[in-house]
Amino acid sequence: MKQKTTLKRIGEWSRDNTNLILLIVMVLVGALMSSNFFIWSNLMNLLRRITVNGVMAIGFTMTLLVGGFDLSIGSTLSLCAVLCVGFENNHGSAAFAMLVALAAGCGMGLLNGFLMKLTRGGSGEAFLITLATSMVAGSLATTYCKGFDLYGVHAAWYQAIGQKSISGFPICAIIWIVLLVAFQIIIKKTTFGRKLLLCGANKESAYLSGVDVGAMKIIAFTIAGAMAALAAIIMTSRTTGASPNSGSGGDFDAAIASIIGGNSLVGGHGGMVQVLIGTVIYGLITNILNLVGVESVVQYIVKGCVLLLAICLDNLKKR
Amino acid sequence: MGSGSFFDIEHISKSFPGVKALDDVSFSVAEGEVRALVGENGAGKSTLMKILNGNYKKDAGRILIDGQEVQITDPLVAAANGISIIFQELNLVDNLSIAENIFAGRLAKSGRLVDWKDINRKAKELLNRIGFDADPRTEVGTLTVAGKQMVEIAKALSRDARIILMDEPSATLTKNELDALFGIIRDLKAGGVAVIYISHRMEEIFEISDSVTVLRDGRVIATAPLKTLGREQIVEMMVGREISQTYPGRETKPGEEILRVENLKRRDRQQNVAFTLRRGEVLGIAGLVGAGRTEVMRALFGVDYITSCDVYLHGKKIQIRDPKTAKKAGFAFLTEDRKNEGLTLDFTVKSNIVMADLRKIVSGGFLRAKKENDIAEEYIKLLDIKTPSVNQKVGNLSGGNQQKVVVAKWLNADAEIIIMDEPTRGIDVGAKLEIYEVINRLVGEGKSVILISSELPEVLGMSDRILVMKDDAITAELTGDRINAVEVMQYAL
Repeated sequence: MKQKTTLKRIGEWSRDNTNLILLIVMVLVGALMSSNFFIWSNLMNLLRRITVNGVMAIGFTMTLLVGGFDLSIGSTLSLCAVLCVGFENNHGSAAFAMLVALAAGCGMGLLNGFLMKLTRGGSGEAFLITLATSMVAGSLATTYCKGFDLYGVHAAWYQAIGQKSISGFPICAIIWIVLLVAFQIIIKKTTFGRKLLLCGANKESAYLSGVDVGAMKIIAFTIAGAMAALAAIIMTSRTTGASPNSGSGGDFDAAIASIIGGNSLVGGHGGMVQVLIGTVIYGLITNILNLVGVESVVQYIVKGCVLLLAICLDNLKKR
Repeated sequence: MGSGSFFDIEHISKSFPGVKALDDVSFSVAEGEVRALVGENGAGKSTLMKILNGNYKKDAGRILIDGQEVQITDPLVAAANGISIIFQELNLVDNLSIAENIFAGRLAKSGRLVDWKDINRKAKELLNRIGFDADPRTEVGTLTVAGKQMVEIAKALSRDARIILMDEPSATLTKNELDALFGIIRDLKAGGVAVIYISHRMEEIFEISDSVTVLRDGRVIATAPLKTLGREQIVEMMVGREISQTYPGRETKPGEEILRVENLKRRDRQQNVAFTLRRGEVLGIAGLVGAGRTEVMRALFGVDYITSCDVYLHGKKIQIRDPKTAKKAGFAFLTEDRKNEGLTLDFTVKSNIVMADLRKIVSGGFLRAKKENDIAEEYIKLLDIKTPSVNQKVGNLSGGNQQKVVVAKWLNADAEIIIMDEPTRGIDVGAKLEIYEVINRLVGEGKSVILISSELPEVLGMSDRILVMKDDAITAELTGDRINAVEVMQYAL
């Protein structure tokens, strides 16, 4: 009898923590496949590589929590990347270039959020709106750089963001972790965060309780745009270049990371712990597939399946 | 059991978290019988219907047709077993034709293509059979509600339905349309179809039915031939108590006028409404469904568009643009759709209670869990909300306790004027009484309540003053001795 209840408790715990279990499994697989896995430099390397996706996933999760999602952040990343590299090349000021990139990111987010407010939309509207704006952003990126890749990130501090470490920790990873903590506090501990979750869980009751649902959507989507710009800055500082396709698939990657980490598709539930777990899982999957030698194009078969699995798990939990 | 009977329901029970919706319900209907199914709101009629249609799974009991047990797992199985249900909100596709709606999912084919000629001919035959003169190619969206009901009946017949349930079919019909419907029901009866007729209107029940089954609080109170019963007896069985005892009295008297609404006009309806509200008053709004009661309040609260509205609060003119400004002005709105509009069902009791005024749980810029718990505990005690803990999901509470959580939410937002739209809908009798006591406590504390209700005894029993609405206009203001059913119905009809 007692054993049964213990088993039951274990069963319930594992149902509620499938994402954590998956993370542990991935770590074990990684450790088995490479003896160098637990070496500090390898771990830091992994961390450095996942931060771009991790920052993107923060933004994506904010839009998910408010009851929508943003598929345009990949194109926004491309736009911000070419703007950032292009403006630094042309005007010589990295700070100015980053401000331009951030402004462009926020602008795209603002546009999405405003359209979401206008249509009083949920997930369905979000899909089509951000699909449309992603075409706009992608086209703007290609137009700006005339279809060519841009090279050269000159300022030393700009390069440092993606390449240097502080006492062993990659700077970009520190930025990411700080953002995760900050957003987790915002979501769980501020009135804004609570309103965001209320909108995502039931926008009718939120509206009728006096929550400005439209404003919440605008803020969440603007944050997503800003995160895409930040991801662009980190990415370009590492690769010292940008192409109009820099961010293609980035929205998809962020979505997988956010959902596989345990964020609910319907909004109102989740947070940055899930983003952390999901981003690491997703990074490990990529890492392992690379180790096995699966081509990056083929990897999307596996990644697509992982996203489907995550969606099924999310629905199973609700039953 | 079930030997030789046509349609039997045996010992059906169904529980939802916190509510026993059906408790050991049994009755039988014979071939060609018209059975009236009556009961108050929340008596379990719609739950029973949804079980028969396969929308809900029953917890216990059996359903038998011709003495054979049938397992109804979804609406298709129900249809295959000859059970057809005509819901109040009709299940038709507006932009398809009558014929397409009748034969949806079963379009006849010649070869690989749909045989429209055959389908339209068959549809026409069905329409003729029920005496509904319409071209089967007409788009359903262009029909009146009565017309749509005819299409639903034709659809039921096309599936060889042997048991047809009608959920308050008369609610939206004119007298002539109703007579036509009764003609059809008599034809169905002659053809051996059993009809279960759900209605609140006693005249209709006595006109069309052979027998009646009374449900109350999920139990069958009686099943009897109508000949043996009088109207008062049925009402008594439905209500199960003296009506006057249901409403707790209150000592307090309304004070000075605090709210004056003038010129309230909506963009989409022909409304021009004006009224006042006093401190500590319960203002009842009576009228038939569709009279525009809810619409007026939604406009006042800023939910829907209004073209003009002059609102004076304590003599000062205020502007209400949306629910946010309405809340700031001290208004609260308990909508009729508690589950979707009043609550966030999969959030906890405490987060629902504090959601309309989060500033109360903030200190130093951050939300404080302790303050949230304290406020929630306070209201749970004050309103006697029955919940295992503040961390329980609101969706798991019973209807009455959910409604109390909505009240708590607005009290926490310091509401002065509380608009309640059907506050006791779908709530069992005991919990209703508690809601009435909550209303009395509110007005006792100097708050004012606007009470919209379709249950006439409730408006009569609770209000200090009643406004009667009809066709988007206020047709009467009743006070004192004039607060009675006759006066209200005179102005509502």
